[in-house]
Amino acid sequence: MKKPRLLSKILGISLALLVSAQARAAMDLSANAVLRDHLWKDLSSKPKDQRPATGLVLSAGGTRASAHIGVISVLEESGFPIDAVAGTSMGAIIGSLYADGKSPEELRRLSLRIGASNGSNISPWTLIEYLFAQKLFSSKKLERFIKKEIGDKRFEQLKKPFACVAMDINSGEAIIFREGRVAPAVRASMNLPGIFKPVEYRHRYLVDGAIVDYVPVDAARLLGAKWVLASVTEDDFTQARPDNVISSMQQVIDIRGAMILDSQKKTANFLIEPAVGTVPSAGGTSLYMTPRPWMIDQGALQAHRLLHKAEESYILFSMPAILKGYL
Amino acid sequence: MKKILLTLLLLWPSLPLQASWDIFLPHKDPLAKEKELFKEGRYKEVITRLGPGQFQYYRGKNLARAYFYVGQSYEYTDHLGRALGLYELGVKLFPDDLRLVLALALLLHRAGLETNAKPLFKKILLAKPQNAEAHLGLAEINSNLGFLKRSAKRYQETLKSVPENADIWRHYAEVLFRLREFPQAKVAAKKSLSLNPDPKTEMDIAFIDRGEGKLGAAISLLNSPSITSQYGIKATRLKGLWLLEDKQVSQAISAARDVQKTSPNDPVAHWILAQAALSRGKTSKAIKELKSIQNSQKYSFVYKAAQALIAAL
Repeated sequence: MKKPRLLSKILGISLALLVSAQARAAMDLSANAVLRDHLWKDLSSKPKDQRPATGLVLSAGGTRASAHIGVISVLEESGFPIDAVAGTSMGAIIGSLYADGKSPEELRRLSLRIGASNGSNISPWTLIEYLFAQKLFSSKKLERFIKKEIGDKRFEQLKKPFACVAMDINSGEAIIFREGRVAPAVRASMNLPGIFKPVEYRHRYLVDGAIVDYVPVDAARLLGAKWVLASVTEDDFTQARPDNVISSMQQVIDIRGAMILDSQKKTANFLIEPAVGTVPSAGGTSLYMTPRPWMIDQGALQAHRLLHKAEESYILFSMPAILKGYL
Repeated sequence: MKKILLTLLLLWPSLPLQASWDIFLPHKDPLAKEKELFKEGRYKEVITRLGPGQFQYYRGKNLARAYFYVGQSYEYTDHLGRALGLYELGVKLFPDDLRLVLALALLLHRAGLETNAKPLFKKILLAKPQNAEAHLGLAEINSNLGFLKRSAKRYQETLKSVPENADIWRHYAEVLFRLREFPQAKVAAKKSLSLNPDPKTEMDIAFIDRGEGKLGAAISLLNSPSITSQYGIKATRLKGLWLLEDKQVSQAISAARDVQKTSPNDPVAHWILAQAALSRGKTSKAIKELKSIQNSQKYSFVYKAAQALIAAL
């Protein structure tokens, strides 16, 4: 009889430890916290046209970019206003689904389904063709996946303004899509050069936008966003050990993206950078290494840690709008 | 059988005295002394008795228990790194020992390593779907990660097993509040209050009332003796801000002045007076108040907000 008593005592202590650990994080009544809360209540309850428009930018990053879902989840559940969305590559896929009104839970479920089978035509046969006949893969399945999830919608039919970026392989230009059909634009944005055939769309040959616009803050600005929060899933090159064609190609794209990343990050008003840098963008012979829940959690964790800072940044930016309410 | 006896006899001299006698005392708990010391809170003695050299004398469940007792003792004596190492090794050796798994999960959670703790709590729930600690751990982790809906569900599961814990009801109420599910949050907070009258819970209810748009009720609560005695000027300056939200400008000024009696340089009091002055068209008075927010608080949000408001003016 003694053992269960001791066990229950230990468990009781652990329960108390758990509870008391959180008690420390109860209502913060510091000067900064109460003023932030006061101003945030005012700002976040203003109609859209009476406060600066906000934009959420989702960077490229292959598998790592699934951390964006965690970021979206925290912003949504906390009621952070997001007026427009822009994304590149994997950020474009997640962004399009979110802009169509998919909940964070749906995004999570869908992201865990994204893999080689529903994103490309990679198979043993096409792999042989790729290796011996230099025939590129097709990303047509990704377009079908997007169409299946949101329908063959046009940008203007989405619930939130959305833009995504691809690169014209003939000119090297960053092409920002914010009108027309969504699915082919998203497919073009996630169309790895050297792996997939360029997508022929609107008289251009398009490949992955990460090469020229890794963090498409400019696209969010074009949508009218005045204050931009960027979720960035940058690669940590020191950890990468690409060991096949696809991961090497993705690594080159990530390095190219990193070259422009620093200057692009400076154009955002606020950054959330989930700690997923050591995760390879792609793995094995599959284009998409299926996102793991912990990557999504890393995004959520970082967003949650920085949520109040993001609110403060938006409040400070919006002070003229807040002032109007005082006068 | 003869072979076993012969082997035991051959091994006999090499075994330490206590351990050798234990062979003939199958019902005696080899960790009885350590268990007793642990129960009495004599953790350093547990650590000494179960030093690294002692572990070799235990096998199976007893070895797992040894890991647990030493790990816990390290935890209670604030040697968290050592406790973590022991638990990790223990769980590696005994992956199905739920007590060790739970101890490791709790420690990882305490250390803020939420993504590491989460799968361990889930593992416990696979074996014991009603385990309150694991549900509570996941509720808190999801809350810390910002997955509030999932957190709320886990709190509900926890409360099925532990329905009379005021703290858990209060934390559940806080998650519902953050989800802006105010009516449910209020029910949970009131349940917590009924179990344990606590000014913190009353403060939570005040925030919930404000969230529901019942500013009058919220402000009344801030005036309650239990809140004012617990929170002092913190409650008064909060009242000042909420009075501004309720367009009760004169009362807000009065609250700010009350704060200044105790804390003349309180930055929020200056802010309240500035915002009140602006609502009355007194811009220069507002600027003066905002400039009074001292440079020593230069990196604080209040200072930055004051500077931003001056710039906007």
